[in-house]
Amino acid sequence: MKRIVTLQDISCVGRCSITVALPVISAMGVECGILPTAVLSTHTMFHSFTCKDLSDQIEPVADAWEREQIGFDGIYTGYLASAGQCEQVCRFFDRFSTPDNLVLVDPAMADNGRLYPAFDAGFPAEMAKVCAKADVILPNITEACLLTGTPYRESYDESYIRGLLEKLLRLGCKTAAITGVSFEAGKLGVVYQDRDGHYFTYFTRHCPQSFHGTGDLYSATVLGGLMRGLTLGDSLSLAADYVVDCIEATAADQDARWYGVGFESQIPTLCAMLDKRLAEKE
Amino acid sequence: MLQHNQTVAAIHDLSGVGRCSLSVILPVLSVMGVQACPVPTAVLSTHTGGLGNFVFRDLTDYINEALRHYQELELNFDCVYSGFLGSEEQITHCAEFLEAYPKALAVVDPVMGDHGKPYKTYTGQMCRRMGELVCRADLITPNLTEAYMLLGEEYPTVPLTVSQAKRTLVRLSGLGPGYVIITSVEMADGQMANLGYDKEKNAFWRVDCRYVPVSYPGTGDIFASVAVGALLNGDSLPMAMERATEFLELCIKTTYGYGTDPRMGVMLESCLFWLTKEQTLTRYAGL
Repeated sequence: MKRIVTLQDISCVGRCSITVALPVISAMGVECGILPTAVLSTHTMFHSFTCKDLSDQIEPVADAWEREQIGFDGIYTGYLASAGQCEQVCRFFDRFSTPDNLVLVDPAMADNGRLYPAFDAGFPAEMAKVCAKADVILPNITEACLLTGTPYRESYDESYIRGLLEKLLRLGCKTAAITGVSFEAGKLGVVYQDRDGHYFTYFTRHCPQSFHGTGDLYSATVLGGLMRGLTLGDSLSLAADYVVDCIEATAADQDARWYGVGFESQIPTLCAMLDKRLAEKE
Repeated sequence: MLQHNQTVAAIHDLSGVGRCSLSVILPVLSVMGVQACPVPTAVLSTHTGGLGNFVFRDLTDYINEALRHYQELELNFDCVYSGFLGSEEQITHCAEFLEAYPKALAVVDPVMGDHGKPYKTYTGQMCRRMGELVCRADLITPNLTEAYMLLGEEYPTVPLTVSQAKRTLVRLSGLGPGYVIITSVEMADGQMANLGYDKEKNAFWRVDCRYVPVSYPGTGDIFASVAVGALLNGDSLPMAMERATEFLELCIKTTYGYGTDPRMGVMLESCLFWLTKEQTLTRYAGL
């Protein structure tokens, strides 16, 4: 069985970050190690949450694992809170990435044309250094723009997105994907390009509702798919289908915007979709 | 109609590698359709069972801060479920959490010892405080060592007869909880069994276990979290016991078959699908 480690915060209420990644990756049949960068009572969209920073744990935990020769088939990073954490994560990659394992970076820092308020304008450059060491990166359009210094556009065409992919690859990552892309009304999806010029798109239904934590859910599912041996394209499409299922299953709940999607009830569907793609592969 | 998830506040430590505590509890509850909200009491590089010099960050002061935040948000929990607690102070904070949610199903897994002995770090004072916490619980899930520690009695050197087992269950429920489950009890008939007692119905249950001769970390957490998820989903006490027993047997058997390093826990991830499927539960019997 494959073992991965995810480095991000754990937001205890609100279904995002490790609270989502751990169950989803486990349910997909992959052992999920965790290295929490902070513990938060809720995610940061709630008022007056409590937060315990764990930046100073990253290195000692890495040391402890190295001593015990604990290795990982995948390393997956999500939300990182500071330039310092980006630096520590880069050092973690240097210690734990091997020719055979996979580094997936979700540079969670922005949406809808804006950097999250917790970050200053210099942060994307730090995140770009994390992305440079990745095999696969999963920014949304806003993050792709910030990482590459490209002006954000509300309306765009395929050539704009392909230009972004080219620029993302120049950061140093092996494969760049962009999530939340739409070339046609009512359709939303994901595109990727690798260094060999292989280009891929997948589109599904566009859900009008927006929920907190769906980006984390998406990335965790992609990683789970990759670890089970799916191609990147299959992993990206699987994750898109699962997230849409979760959103549609939750859409009637007004609270869910804050508390995240009910991913739990859709886990059997996820497992069935995963099995189907694995069977098709054979 | 939208079905609201049952929500559980799970007060346990968080070990980065080694499959125990929140690392198994979150996946188990989520797969059972229950929303698990962790309340980490500490963060560890690995569990403490044989993976070298682990590193550890205590989060005792986090527990109350999180509770205050949840009260401020008027968040509700259907269940509060606690496990290993590392100090008297943590036990106190856990009691405050239970008190704040009087309507929630209160589940206390009084993790204190095993094989007839308390864990090295467990003091007599902590044991007494755990006794106070148990008074507030609706369900407790001690192993036999912990059961006798709670009762302040000598650990039995010989397997239990049915009447001894019943007396132990009743005495534990006398401390407060309406449901008592004692795990991994060696019975005089040669079986290893998980035992249960429903005080209100005065009903005694047993589910015989088919385990293998290897011990893995995290199995108590897996058992208790499946039982919690099952009860929240409407299982009767014996059904919940059987679901938890069978799932754990599957995890252990799978891991035993692959012969992986026991310190890394059981191959939970290969087995989680079982919890999503309808199961026919017919193995439980009256004690």
